[in-house]
Amino acid sequence: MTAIVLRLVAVASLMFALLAAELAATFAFPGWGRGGVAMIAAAMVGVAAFGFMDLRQEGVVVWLFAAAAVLWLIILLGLGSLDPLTRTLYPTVIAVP
Amino acid sequence: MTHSAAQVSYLEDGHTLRSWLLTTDHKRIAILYFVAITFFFFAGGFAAFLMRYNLLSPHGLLGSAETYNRLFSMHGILMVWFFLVPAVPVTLGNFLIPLMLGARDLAFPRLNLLSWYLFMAAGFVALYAVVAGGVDTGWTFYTPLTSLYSKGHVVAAIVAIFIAGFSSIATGLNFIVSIHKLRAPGMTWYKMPVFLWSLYATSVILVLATPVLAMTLLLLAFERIFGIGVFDPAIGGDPLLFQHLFWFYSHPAVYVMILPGFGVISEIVPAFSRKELFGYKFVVWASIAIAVIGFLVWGHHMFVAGTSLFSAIVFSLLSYMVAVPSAIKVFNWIGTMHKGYIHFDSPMLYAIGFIGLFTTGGLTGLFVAALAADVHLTQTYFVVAHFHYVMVGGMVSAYFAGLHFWWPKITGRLYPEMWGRAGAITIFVGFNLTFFPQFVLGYLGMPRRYFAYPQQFEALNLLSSAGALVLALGYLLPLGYLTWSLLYGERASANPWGATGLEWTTPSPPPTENFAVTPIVTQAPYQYEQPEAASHE
Amino acid sequence: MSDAAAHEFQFSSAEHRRETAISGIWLFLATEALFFGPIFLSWIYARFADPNAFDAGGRQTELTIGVTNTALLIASSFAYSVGLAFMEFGSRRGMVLWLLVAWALGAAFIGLKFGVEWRMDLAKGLFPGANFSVHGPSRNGAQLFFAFYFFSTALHGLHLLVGLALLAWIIFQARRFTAERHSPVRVVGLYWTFIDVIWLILFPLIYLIGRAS
Repeated sequence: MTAIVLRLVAVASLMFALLAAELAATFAFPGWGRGGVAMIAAAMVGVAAFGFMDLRQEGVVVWLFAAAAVLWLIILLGLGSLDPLTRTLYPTVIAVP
Repeated sequence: MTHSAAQVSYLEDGHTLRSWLLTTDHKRIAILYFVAITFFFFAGGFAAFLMRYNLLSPHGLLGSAETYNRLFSMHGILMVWFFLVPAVPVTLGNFLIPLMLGARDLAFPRLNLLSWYLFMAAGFVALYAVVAGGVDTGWTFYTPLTSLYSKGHVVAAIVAIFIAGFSSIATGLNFIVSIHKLRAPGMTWYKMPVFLWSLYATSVILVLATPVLAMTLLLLAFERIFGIGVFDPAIGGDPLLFQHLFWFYSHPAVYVMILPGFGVISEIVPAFSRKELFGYKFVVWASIAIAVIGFLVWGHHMFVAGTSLFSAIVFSLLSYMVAVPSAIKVFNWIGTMHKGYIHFDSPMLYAIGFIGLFTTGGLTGLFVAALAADVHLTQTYFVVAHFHYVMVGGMVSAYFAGLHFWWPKITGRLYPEMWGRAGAITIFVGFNLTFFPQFVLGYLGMPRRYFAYPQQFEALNLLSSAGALVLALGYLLPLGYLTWSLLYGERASANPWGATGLEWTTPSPPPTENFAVTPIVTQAPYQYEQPEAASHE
Repeated sequence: MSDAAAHEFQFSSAEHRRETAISGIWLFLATEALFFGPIFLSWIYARFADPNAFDAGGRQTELTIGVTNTALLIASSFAYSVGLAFMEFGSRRGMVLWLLVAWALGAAFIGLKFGVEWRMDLAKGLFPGANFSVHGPSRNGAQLFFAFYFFSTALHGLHLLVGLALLAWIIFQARRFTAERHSPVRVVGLYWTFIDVIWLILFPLIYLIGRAS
């Protein structure tokens, strides 16, 4: 019991530390940039999945479902942004009121 | 709970309306779905019939382009979301998955019932949208037409599809978890009938694609209600984003429609050829491959919409890839029939029709997947003919094949075989008469969704409309004789076709708990013996 | 209690039933992840159209409330996990206590988000439309940002409300759970943390990317 709660305290502390790092990347260390923010956010998602949702302890089936969600999100976001990222944009004039 | 001495058939286990409407028995829920699906099929079919009536004359017989627009939108919406997508999974799938697994029910029976209620709620909202005046946007709801300009009941239609989507998700989730968790002892993955594999692949798409459509429709509803949103080009939003998101669902949805059909055909062809399925592992992995690759090709709907050339080339190449697993399946069915002892009973007639029509539909798909050819063919009747060969010629034939094959198991009655064959042949002839001329029309340049057309297309349109009449008759035939057989059909034995599979080891109709004793599976599926081989022993 | 009463007739044991429920909720969460997919893709598209104007919109948000809310949700997931641990060791009292904490933290998020933050945003005229208060070259991109902002936060809030209802239901049903049989507590907990995970992605998209360099 104590071990589990201690582990959860550690996980929560790590999450708060990462939140602080995210803010630091935004304001204190501009060098880290948006890429740094994105990587820290991804790390937080990972910590929540393994620390709070106990993904590590589940069986193959659960792993399969979680992996499918990630893979399909990559397909949606990756192939989906292929078009705007390679599109030739012609300047348009939109009237500014 | 065990009635091992005298098992009560699921049809006899309670006669009140309540015993049906509050049932959690997967077999009864399948019957509830059968009734709903049949209604929507004929409602959508009626709209199509009026469209073909309109096109008898180059000037349009309905007198109003607006009416015609609303008819084809209604036809598309009802047929796609209220018949084609759910049809095989919720009826045959619901009924057969636990039986084929050797299980007593699906993993989440109450969720299964909930999915039916969601489906019915969605159906009523859709009917409200139709009765209140309909929508004129087509089934694809492209922005900015839908978000800003359309005058129809767009929000009602969106709500209907949104709810229907959650019904699909519930069904898919139930199937996947059941197939993972409820297989009978000894039922390893490679001992599962292909029907189960196909529905597994179908459910993967239902669970992972439908939520994307649901959110896309919410974004659209937000934009329609507030007049501003992420698709709005006036503030720099991208209407093509809507098309990307819509086709991320709607292209895989095509495989939701056809994959269960592959499963049905893979059961029927071995049973009526008295031969083991040729290349079982290729067939099952082709199903999974289709489910995955099907997600990588959606951009081919947008070649002329203004997407980047680079992404169009990528999507064109990926689209060719998805043809490979489909072709593998066709060769496997033909390989199964080769040197088989073929019986031409009605399910097999439908199945053979399916193979021919699906192959035609699939091959013409390669024409429109080709970037250059698509520029000429897109938005013409060629595309209409192509996807009707896949969805109606393919999917509806497979649905009827499965319906006839498992009818004795589901109802405990035999249908009149001669009428069944007459129906299969009428549908095949009527279908080709309706849709083959549309390939020619499209090649000649007749655009789709037009209420009137130039004089030069009149003869081919007449031919197509005449075919629609034959096709309508073909669909009314099964409605007649199958209903008749419910009351007067001969009692069916447990296994009238001499087929393999756990579902045939239960009585017809099966008892409520399916199996008094959980079966133990020791054999691979499709262990058929050729009659010649049997006579030597 | 006989074994047959512990599980429905399609399962072979109570453990079989538990495993099935857990894999079911994970598959549901996979569905939910894809449900939020279009929101993320629309962020990519909207920002790509005019990154500077979009970021200018992002800088209008209330950073303090955003950070506080993120911290609230992290703490709430932590509290739920501790509650679950108490149940696993047989302390129903401990579970109820910690779940109440988790519930209160979630409710605080809702209060701050919709009671305070949205009200401030609306008062500042940040709802897209004719009365949108940002003018100049950033106007269109900023409107696009706030279309994304209001839509995504409303949807996330809706999920959180459902989560609060489920949590309340678990607390009221607490008597039914034992150290051995408490899969509903675990199932709701997975959903609860998942809402947190979605927020962990939305938070930088809304509050940080526009302010970072």
